[in-house]
Amino acid sequence: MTLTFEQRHHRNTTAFAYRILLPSLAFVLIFIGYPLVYSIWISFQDFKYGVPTGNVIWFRNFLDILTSSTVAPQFYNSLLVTLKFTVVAVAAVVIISLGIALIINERFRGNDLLKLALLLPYAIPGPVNAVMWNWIYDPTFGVLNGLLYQVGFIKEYFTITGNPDLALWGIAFAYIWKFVPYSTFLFVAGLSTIPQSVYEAAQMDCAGTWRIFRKVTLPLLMPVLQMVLVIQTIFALLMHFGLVFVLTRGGPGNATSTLAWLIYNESFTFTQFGRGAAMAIMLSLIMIVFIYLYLVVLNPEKRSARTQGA
Amino acid sequence: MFKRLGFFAGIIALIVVAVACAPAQPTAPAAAPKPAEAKSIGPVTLELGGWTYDNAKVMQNLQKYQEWAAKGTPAIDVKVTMSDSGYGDFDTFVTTRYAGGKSFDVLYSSDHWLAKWAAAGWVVPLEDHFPEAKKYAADITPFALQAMTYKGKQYGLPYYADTMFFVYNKKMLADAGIAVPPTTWAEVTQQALTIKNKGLSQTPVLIGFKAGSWFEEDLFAMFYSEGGKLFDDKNAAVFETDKGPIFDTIEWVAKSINDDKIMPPKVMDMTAVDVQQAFKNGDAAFVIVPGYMMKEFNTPGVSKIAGQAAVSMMPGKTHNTNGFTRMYLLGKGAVADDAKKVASLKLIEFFGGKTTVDGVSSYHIAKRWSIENGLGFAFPSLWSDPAVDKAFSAMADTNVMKSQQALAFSKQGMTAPWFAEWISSVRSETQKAMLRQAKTADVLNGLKTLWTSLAK
Amino acid sequence: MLANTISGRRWRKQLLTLVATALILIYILAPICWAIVSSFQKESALEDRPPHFFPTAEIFTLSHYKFIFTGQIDKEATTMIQAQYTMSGTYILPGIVNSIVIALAVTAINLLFGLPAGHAFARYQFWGSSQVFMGFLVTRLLPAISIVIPMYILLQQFDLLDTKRALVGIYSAITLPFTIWILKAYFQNIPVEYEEAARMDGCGYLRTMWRVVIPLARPGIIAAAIFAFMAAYDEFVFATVLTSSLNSKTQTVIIAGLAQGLSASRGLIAAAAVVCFLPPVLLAILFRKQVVQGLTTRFA
Repeated sequence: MTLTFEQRHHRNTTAFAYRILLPSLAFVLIFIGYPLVYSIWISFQDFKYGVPTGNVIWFRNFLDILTSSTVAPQFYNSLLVTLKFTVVAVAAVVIISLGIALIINERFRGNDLLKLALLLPYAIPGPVNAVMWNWIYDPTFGVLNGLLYQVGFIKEYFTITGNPDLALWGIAFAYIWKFVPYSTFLFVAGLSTIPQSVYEAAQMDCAGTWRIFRKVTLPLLMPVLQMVLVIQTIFALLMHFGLVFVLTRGGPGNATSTLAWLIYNESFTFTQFGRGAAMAIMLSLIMIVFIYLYLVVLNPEKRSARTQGA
Repeated sequence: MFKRLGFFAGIIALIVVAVACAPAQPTAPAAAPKPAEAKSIGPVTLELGGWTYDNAKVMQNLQKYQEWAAKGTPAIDVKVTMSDSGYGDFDTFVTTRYAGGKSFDVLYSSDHWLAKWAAAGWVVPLEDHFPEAKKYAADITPFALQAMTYKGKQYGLPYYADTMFFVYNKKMLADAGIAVPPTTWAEVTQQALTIKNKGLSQTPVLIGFKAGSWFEEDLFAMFYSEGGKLFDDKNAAVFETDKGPIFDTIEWVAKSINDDKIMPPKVMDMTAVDVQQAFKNGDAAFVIVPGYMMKEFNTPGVSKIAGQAAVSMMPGKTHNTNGFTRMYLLGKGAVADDAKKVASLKLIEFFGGKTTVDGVSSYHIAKRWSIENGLGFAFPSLWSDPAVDKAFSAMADTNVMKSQQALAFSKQGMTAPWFAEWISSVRSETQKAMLRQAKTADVLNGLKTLWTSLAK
Repeated sequence: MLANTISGRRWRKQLLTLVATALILIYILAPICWAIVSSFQKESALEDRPPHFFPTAEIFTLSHYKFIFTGQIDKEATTMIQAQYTMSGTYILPGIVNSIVIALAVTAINLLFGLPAGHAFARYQFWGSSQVFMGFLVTRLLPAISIVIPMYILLQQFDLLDTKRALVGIYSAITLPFTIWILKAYFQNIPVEYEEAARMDGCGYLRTMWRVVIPLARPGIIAAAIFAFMAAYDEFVFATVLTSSLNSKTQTVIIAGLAQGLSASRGLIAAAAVVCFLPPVLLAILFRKQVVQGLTTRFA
């Protein structure tokens, strides 16, 4: 405490920075680093009936997942289901939340009510959300059926989560409902930093709403959009698990058997811990690919210029 | 604003300190090793792992056990703590614990988990440590005994054992002018069409085929009713893939959903529990459900069709059905310590066997579950107990129940440790066949190949 | 003429905004309203078709809530109804208390350690800075399900199974990277001159943080706190396998167990859902200004 900030700053920033980072690093290394390394180790092992056989088989589990006749078809199916879900869920969340954010940005009365309402889905815990939608979709007593029937849209109660063509979208709908607010807030934050004068200038040029959005708003919003895409992709690949667990359990057929669900089954139902761990690593790699695409494809130069300017 | 933040930060910091400094929960006192000939044993703390079901009653039963054990010879000073999770999570709950190197002393299990857990060595054969378990064998329904046996050894005593029943709505059949419930699946179709055409029910047949463990209870019951055989005694797959009872059953379901429309597509989203709720609401004429649901069907105030639900023999060529068993197992951790082992064995016997309490010798706990909750039991001798007979007579025709139980099999193939992996594919692939997204023969061929490759 | 079309356009736009707002409100609120309405209905009414959209006197009941809060079942209820009130219903409150304690502790740890860390990444150029930062971010890409078993083994070695402290540690590790990320981004948006001025005045590190950095970054800090709190309150995968008694079971575990219960009362499940989301919702409404300000803060 005898040294001034200035002195410390100049003398050994690195040591000082690491001293500050130490607690955070410790948490992450102990609770994530160690289990992560351990799970990579597990993925190299051979298991039979829940017990390691003692053979280290290195990448055989990975190879099995990609080529064996028993696992590979399920893996590819799950991969496809996961990609379908992720693309639709991320796109829908981004479009809907951007739309809502633009409306909130209009700064009209009732704006606050909208913000407050948005807090609700965000505040609902995942498992509660799954239970709630399960009850809404119920094919025998559910309120969705009841409502559509009352209005006259349907003649007979129908099933969403029991229909292979609809089940994934039923899950996606419940998922989107919960995750729209999160991104909306991020977009509102982004929009609020765009000066009103920019819009006024654009309106002077008599540009239409769509043109203003495309030429002015969207480019200025790009960094936020990137952030939302990254976060939402990570979420969409993982956070749907509770919904699958409660609503469909991977069915009907393989229609909702996502990678997260398959990993859960491999590890905990089939006690194939090695294969489960290997699949989890592959899922992480998929995320990295997605994130790389976002960061590179969406204007890398512009982005780096912006962050440097900030 | 800065002050307020500081205030919150202060509160939060206090909580952190409180949480961090909170004394560790007192851990179970390590049971002192006692010589085997000691008159009293303990104090011992046991951990019972189970799924959540009527926990209030389980706690009472555990209390009774502790009192009973304290009075026994040798007297055991024992305390049991229960760790529970939801039934759907229980497999994960147990798997994580054992994969992490810990154990339960006594745990619940369902028949389809036994092979997996026994093969991994997480549970140990009961008969090796408790030869008396064998003496119960004669009094246990064959299918339940089989369900508790792995590689020729008895692993547990039953918690409850129930049978899948064919249940119909008496009033609906009478209104449709049907005198006798169906005895073949073709008759089920016929009668269901009559009922549907008369507008008595839009969904006359409901059998739950949502992916999950009820799926195979329902499907196997139907397989067996037609005399289907999936595996031989050596667990080799022997079912035919392009004809025969297994093929016919799946085709019948597909036809009922897609052509006859006597079963709605929503059965893909229903478990036996959902079927139960729809049936007691008067939605269906015919359902397949476990026996214990009869109690709810015929209880006024809970069921809109109270008094109308009746059991009938499973339709089909042989009228066989599927029985499932829930049991108490001995965890591998319990046998490492003598005192724990004795107390655990006594707990299993008290819960799953015949004991003398207050001078009365009976299957006290099994009896209590049957009378109060309608759960089926694995001991046919309990039928002669007047209290049990009275309770069951109030919910169904006990003669039919007895005859059907006598025709019950446990799930074939379940004794293979790879059954869990196989059945998961059975669920998804069969659903595809039922929805006509895949050909039944292709599905069965695929499942047969899968079984063979998993068995390697 | 020109003024006319502009005002016409504006009027149209306002109407559109209003309609859109109404639609969004319905979309957001309808599912929640249905959960609330269901929770006040008798069990038999929930199995009526069509469903009752408003609880009338004859189907209205408080018995689900009464059971959750007191564990008591109406005397006139039949044994079957009593059986539907599975005991897990009474575990909801202890579960919520556990969840809140854990979430608050996680929030505190995040602020205590994540804030200086985020600040350090934003302000100092130090050896390995960007590598360590990326390292933090990469941990977000890990499916929880894949590290559950190693985690179990780790906790068992330290005798931490079924403790709140273990969950606090895990959730802190999960949330810290994100906290650091958003706080770093936030600090980068605050001109460094304020801090430099404070240092000129002879303030040390702690004083600068306390006097200048934290007050300036308040919205960002609140946002980070909310994200951390919600992530911890929400977590299910670790909680479900690492807890085994009410000592540490969180509300997510309890309600998931309740929902899978064999023929558990639907009204009870609905009431439990409402009770579970009440604490964060109440917190959100109570501190709505700070929360909305925090959540709509620009990070990137």
